[in-house]
Amino acid sequence: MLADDAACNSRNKFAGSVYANPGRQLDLYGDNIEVDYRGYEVTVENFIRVLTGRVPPSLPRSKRLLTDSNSNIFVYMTGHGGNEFLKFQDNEEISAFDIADAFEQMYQKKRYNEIFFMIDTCQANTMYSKFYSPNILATGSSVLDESSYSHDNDYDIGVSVIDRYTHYVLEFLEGINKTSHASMQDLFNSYDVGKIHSHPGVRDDLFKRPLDKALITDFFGGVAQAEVFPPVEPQEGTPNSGEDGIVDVDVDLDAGPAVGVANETTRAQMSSPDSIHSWTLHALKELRAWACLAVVGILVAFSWSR
Amino acid sequence: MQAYLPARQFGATFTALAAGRLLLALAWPLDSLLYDQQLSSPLTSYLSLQEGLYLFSNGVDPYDGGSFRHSPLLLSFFSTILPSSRIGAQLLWTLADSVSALCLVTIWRARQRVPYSSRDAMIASLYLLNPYLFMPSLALSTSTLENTLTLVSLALACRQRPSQALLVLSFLTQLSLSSILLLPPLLLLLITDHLSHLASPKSFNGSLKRTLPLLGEFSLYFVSLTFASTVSAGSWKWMLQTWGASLNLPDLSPNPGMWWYFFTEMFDHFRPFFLMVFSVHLLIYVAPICIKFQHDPLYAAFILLGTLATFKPYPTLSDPGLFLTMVTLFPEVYPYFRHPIVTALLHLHASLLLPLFNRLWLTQGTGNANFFYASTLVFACSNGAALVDCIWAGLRIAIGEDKEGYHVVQE
Amino acid sequence: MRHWLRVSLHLCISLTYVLCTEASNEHFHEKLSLRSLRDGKVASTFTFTTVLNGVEPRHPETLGSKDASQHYNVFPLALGQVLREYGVTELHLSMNAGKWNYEQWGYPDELSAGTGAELWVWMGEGGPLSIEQRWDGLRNALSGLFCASLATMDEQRTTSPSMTFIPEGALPIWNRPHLLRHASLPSEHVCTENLTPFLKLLPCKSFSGIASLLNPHRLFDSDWHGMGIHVLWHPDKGVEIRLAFQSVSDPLRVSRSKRRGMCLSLKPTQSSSTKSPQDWSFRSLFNRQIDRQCPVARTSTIEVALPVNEAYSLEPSPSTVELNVARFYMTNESVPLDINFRWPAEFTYPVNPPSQSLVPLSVQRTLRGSSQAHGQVSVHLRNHLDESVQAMYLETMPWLVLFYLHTLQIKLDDAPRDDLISNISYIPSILHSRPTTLQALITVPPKATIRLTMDVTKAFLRYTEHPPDAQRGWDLPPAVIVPLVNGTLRGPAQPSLGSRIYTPILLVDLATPDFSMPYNVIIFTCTVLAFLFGTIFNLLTRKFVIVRLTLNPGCTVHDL
Repeated sequence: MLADDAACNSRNKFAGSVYANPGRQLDLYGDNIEVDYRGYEVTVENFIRVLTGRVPPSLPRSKRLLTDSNSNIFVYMTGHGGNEFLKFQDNEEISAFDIADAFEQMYQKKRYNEIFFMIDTCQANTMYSKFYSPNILATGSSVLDESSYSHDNDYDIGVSVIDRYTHYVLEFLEGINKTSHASMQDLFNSYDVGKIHSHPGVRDDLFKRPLDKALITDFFGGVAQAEVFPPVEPQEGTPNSGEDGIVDVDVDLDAGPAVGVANETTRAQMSSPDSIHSWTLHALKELRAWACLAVVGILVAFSWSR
Repeated sequence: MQAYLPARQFGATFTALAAGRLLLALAWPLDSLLYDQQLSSPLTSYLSLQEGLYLFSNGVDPYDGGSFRHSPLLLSFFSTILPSSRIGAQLLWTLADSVSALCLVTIWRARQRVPYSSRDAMIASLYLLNPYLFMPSLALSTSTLENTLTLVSLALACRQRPSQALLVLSFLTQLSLSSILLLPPLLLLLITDHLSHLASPKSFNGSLKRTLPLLGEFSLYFVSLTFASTVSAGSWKWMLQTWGASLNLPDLSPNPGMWWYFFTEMFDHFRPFFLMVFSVHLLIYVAPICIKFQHDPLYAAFILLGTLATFKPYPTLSDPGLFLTMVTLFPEVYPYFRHPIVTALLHLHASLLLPLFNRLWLTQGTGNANFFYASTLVFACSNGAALVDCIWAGLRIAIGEDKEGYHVVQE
Repeated sequence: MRHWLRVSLHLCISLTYVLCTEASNEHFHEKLSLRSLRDGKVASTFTFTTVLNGVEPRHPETLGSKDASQHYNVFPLALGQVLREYGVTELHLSMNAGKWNYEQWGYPDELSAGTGAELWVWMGEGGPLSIEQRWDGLRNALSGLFCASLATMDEQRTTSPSMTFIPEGALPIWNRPHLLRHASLPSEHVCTENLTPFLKLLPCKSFSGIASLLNPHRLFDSDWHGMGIHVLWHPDKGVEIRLAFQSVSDPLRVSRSKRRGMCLSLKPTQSSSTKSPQDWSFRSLFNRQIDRQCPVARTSTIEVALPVNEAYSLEPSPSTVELNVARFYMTNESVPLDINFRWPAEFTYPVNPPSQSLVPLSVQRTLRGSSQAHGQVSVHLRNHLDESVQAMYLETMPWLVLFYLHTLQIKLDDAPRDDLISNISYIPSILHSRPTTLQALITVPPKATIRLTMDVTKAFLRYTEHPPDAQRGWDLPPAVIVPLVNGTLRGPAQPSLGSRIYTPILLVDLATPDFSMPYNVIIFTCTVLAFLFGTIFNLLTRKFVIVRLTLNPGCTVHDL
């Protein structure tokens, strides 16, 4: 969910790129990104609907959170925030209670196995203080009454390109690959208050596993765990049993070259006064106006006579 | 000769004022007045009337969306016999204003049971010179025509012409649905009299059954006019666009009333409920006022015009203008006003601030919507103050004059 | 040994691919056209066409029953599934950014050049689902497929201007007619996330073939860029999907920044010193070159428009040159391919505006007026030809701006000329619901500029209808002008298309309420209402009593 278009903004000198550091070594946007919710679609309502799965039936699959009880979810939120709220889009805010309730709904509906919640705003740690569902590991960038700061300015772009907390977390994660055995405890040990300039926090009381056993690749890296089931007997008589067939179409070789282009019947046409059809319409209209007048006249005469 | 002097004086004053008005309208056609939101509302705007007439004459259904919210009766009248060009319209509007002033004088004369009186000229000039009335007329707002129909209906009722009064009222209701509030006092007026009984109220001893045939006649006129409107419009869509606008409030353009900002800031969930509340709120004034002023139905009609002016969905300045000018018909209550100066100052305050804040908000961009909203609240307070004072005076007059050492209060 | 195994495996796979596509009824063609524009910029158009032979669009009557399973080799399955799910005959989706300069650049190769997103489809009526339901489903499906906010193109932005948006292909003859649905979102941004699914629809993705030149960091830096997805049906050819990406790049801007030595992600060009900054190559335009050929492409062609009267140099030498167009037919031997185009002499900019505009009509549209309650739309049309031109003018305005059609005026040199406009077709807008559709036929005399003005009134929105950045204003979709040829709109049976000209989008500033005040407003208004009601209620229901005023502190109350 990206509320603002930063990469292709006309004020971004480096089109299509969002850099992770002022030296522009790492482009986070890349060539292959997909953004599901952008612009005005980023609202509190859509966020909570995505999490809880209460979406209208017309919503395409790419915009849904298709998770089940075996999925580990990583939720990262950043922006302007404060004591138990985060600002959405200039006119809305989401509160810590909203997210906590959404996570509880997900727990009730078995939509997650474990959630790793990371937030980088001012007073971020207050946002996870209200969680009450199990298996949630949360971390934030600053404590109550503390601001989170941005990283150094990029003088070509003209703004700071990243926040301090996110920058140092990213620095740590860039050193991890799919085969790494680094644990969450290593990530949290890498927090350096002197560099981040705020006090990051961790909330692990809802998380059942010990942090040094929880691997980072459980949430990042897409490392799948395969479970082997016994073979299932194929069923008889199903029409589309997964065999790919050639598409079955009717080819109408007798279709003529002319086509049926429809004109909407409700469209009003202001035609030139030359055709007879328009003349009759015009006359009908005049007739209607005069008929109305006549009725009023009759009523006046009637009332006058009484 | 003495008896004719007031008549001649009235005739001379009236002609001079009407002519002066016409001259002003023709010589100084301010286009900017047509856009002014205090003088015309989406239901009464001259520009949307022109738009509807243009679409109608070109074969497009004017009620298929768009900004045309006038009654089909106006559509048929203006596309056939009434002029819709700028000069013709100015003439028509001045004529309407003159007819209104004459009707006001007629009501006054009927109430005093004299053919002429010395106050005639003053009443006519108070109508023609009231800025709340002649500014909307210059802006060619059809609320002027509505005022004319209201006064014609009341005048006909005072002149004992029940059928014609009911016909004019049904025509008025076609143009502005909220004027249906005037039906009960008009019916009462028709079965009693228009004379002033404020000072000596007697409870209503007539038979309400006599209103039933009148009600039937009104319904007949109303249904026939609805039918005529449907014929003119070609379909039933006009009801949603015209009457439906008063009930649904689709157009949230600012006006001097209280509804627009309330429903701008309303959440969608509560919108239907509050629309219903505001509409019913208008209706609940009818019965109590008619019961309390059953001895003087003309005064009841006057008070209901005041409630319409304050609480209507799309008011313009001509609605309180009519209410304030009609006070001249009831000089007997003047000594009993409790705060006339406050009311006048509130009106002065509001009438200066309304156009100023509207301009600051929409044209200059240095104010915001709250400025104008605050001035509409002041305006509502000023209308409310006038209304409250008139009700108090109308009731208080029955008690009699103040005696030394005693004070009249309510408990 | 391992190396040879790998190469032979690769060859086997490509052979299989090629054989499969040769035998099947699907063809994939890719093309890149480059031309130098008059002001030194370079317009490039990538066209990827996939044809599914012998296939007809799905009949809407069959929408209730389960569809046969689709199996394609090169035809994009994701898009094919969407098209069949909603029974779409013809679809055009374009997402553009920037302002296309018609006078200097001529017509774009793909005509939909309006800023923002534009979607128009022709669908056949009938079947269990209504057109509105299918349109709604289609928009949602496309918004998920292309990562764009197309789902917000609801009834408040949908119109049906069938006189202007005639089908590009053919419409099958069914017993119910086809209807058009058109919607535009002028404020939609285009970025890498829209290009990614676009590339995924191609058989070779962006790994090989011409599509490997599509570098988002360069494409989205250009002066104008637009992406288009067009689905047509031809009775003799079948269903055709044409994916197009156009961009207008400025080699001058890139070379100037190179000469200043700023650190962009550029590799040094392999060519010799560039005398003229308008020289371009694949490296300078796209920062890439074509390294591999797409094996499933039936044809891969690169066309370069050659200048007529100026000296130029083009490397490598093209396969054919005919009619000032150099063509490169890509084969396995021509890769890696980096085309270099050089102007040996110094490039001369046209100092004075050229007398020949590249399009017959120039259009300029503005919204005038300083009030937030009303304004005026003003359109200037300038005819550059020596004969009068008739054009169809289409305006699809959201209900935010209400037209006063009776104030529509046409002036030629300040003289009113009502004869120049005719055949006005008008569907008025419905507040909070339908946009306005205004179509008119305008005649512009030769070498003349006519001015069309119309008063408009601006709507006042509800609190919940304002976007989060309400003070920015709303973008209004472009107006479309279609110059007619020989007095007729090109019919659907004719091979060439009606050439649409899009005006730039407008920004309308609407009055906003105070967003911090909903509770306050409700409370204030209800207080005034309740206060007045209460006072009147008291006056009407209380009894009058006369109180004797005595001088003693303890007053006695006497009823009379």
